[in-house]
Amino acid sequence: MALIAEQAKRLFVAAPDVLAQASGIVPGQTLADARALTSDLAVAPFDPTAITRAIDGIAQWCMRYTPVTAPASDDGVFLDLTGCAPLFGGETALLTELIARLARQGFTAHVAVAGTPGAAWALAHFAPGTIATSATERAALADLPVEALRLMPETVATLRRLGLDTIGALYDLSRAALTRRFGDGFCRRLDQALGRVCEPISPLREVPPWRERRDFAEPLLQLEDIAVTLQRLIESLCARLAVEELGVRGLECFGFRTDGSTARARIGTGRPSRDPAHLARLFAGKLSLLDPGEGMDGMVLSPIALEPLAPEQPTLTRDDAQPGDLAVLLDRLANRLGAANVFALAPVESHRPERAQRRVAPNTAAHNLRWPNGMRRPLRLFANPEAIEAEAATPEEAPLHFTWRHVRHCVHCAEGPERIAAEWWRNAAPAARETRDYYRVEDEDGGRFWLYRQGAGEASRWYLHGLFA
Amino acid sequence: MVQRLELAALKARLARAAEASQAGVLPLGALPALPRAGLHEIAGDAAASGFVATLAGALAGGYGRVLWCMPLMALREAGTLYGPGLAACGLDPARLVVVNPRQTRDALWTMEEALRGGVFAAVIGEAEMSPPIAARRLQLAAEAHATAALLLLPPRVPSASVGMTRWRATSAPGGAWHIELARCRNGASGTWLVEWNNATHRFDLVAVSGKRPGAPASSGLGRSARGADCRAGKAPVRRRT
Repeated sequence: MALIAEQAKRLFVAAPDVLAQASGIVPGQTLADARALTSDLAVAPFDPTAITRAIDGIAQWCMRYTPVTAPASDDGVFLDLTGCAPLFGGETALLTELIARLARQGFTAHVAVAGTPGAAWALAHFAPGTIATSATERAALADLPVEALRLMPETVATLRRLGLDTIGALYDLSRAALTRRFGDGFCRRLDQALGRVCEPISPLREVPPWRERRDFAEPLLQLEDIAVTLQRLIESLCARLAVEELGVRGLECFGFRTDGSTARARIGTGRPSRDPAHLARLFAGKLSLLDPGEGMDGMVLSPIALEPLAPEQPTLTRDDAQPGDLAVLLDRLANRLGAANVFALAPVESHRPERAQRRVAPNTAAHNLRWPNGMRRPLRLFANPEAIEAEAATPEEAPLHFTWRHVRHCVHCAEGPERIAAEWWRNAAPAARETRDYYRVEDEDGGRFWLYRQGAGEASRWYLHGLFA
Repeated sequence: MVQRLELAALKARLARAAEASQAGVLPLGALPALPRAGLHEIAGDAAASGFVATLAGALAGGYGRVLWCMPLMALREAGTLYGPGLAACGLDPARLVVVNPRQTRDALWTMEEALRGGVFAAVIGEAEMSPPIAARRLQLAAEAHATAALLLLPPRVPSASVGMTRWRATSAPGGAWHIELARCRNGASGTWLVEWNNATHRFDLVAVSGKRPGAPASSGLGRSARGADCRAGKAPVRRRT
């Protein structure tokens, strides 16, 4: 089996599998040559985006071991294990577990541990299984080929021509000469591998300093078990938050499935919280996102943002969860319906009626705000004014009849016009810059409507913008 | 002296008892008082929205909060709530939380949660019809948490109801509302032509429009000769209490 790619109208082997490699097929060979070696070679197209996706997926899955993981070029993942290995019984145990778990997902992993990302990359590619410390790195790298330094192919070819085949051969050469011959980037790669310069790993996501992790010896299969575990994670996180007098503005839960996929669910809160019952209830509607599928063998809970939160006053009268808290209720609504669908209204200084109010987060609206000339404004406003057919005695007067939504209304009385000019300082579309003449009209049944005429003379058009109570 | 003190104490007790009996209902002036805990269904057009906003404003009484749950479909059909108009109906927009659920199911869930939360003076919902089981649940939640649930329904909707009251509100000429109490648990019913008085926080009866020289400038529209060819729609007004 091999993945093939097309280049200059010819098909090349991009990635042969183990069996194909055993028959002598190497990357870069033409498909014709490869077919000559094995007649029964199965091929599939090489899809770089699928590979990037797979690597990203693995990087995310690896967050079960450490919060700092990052895809490395297109064929590996960096894990910053600083301080993490003891949790898994040491680096050797961690590597064994990592390889075994990835193998169950169908991946053959080459893994190595070293003091720098450069050295780890070199060892994982050319001496997998090595665990090097900063003291043994230099020796461990000495026998590796120069390709292990993540160099450009041309640089590698030149080094080979000069007989510099291993990294060890470079140790004794003068840096000045190497820089002169191969450029600045070359020595940086060498320094990165040997830890002379720092190479930070840019993590997949911002590192949350407060994480709660659980690993399961037996994969969980039931959603109820996931819910119970989540509850425990929340409780233990909240206990820690209480000590530091912090609250979260949201939580994200990752569930690691045995098939290598990662389940995610997140919630948000309107104000900082560390109430386990409240936070768990917010997750209630999202539990289906954490479906264990074939089995889930690890979960991580991480806060989205932390804010100071003063300790609660000990309550003397109420011992149950306080049902009367508006913020708690608003959080629940926002988490089920979407934060944008739960709001309050605030006035805006604008002549255009549709701009005279805006949505604000509930619970933040200030009181005693002034709403302009309320009596002359409708109760219901259409976001998109509805075109109507109207008939007026003269183009400058109020209409006598109008037809809205197929119903004809006779105008019994009318008040207007109220001329509302466009806000010329706004760079709006030409139609929105026209002046509108508004009329409050009442039909024969007492129904009250807010109509306006836009445009002048023959070209004028009528719209219905709102309904009075 | 002692007798006078006892008399004062007795008077205070009587006043408290009267207050307690009044606490459960909201006096509405010309209209029958509205029980604060329970489901009230209000059918009608834009006037019903106004009537509901007015009731909610009166229930909130300047310090309570109101939740208005408006499914996206209602939004397209009847337009968004407009702050200046709400204020004119006596409902301070600052006391209001608006919720736009996508589906009817979410809307009923929202109303029930809001009622159970016990933080709102009134919870308003808009629905195409009054689903019997959901309405029953709303009625129970409203009663249990002493909160008013106001369900806004389209003008023509079958009148089976499980709520405390069922109202019908339509616009009447001159800025007034034609209010009909179609059903009430204690048996009262009737039809009124009323106007909200923002100063006294009560509904005032409006005399039959033909007998009035003109609508008040504050809420009605000035009369004009235009449209005289149209039928003057005057519903007969009667009062039964």
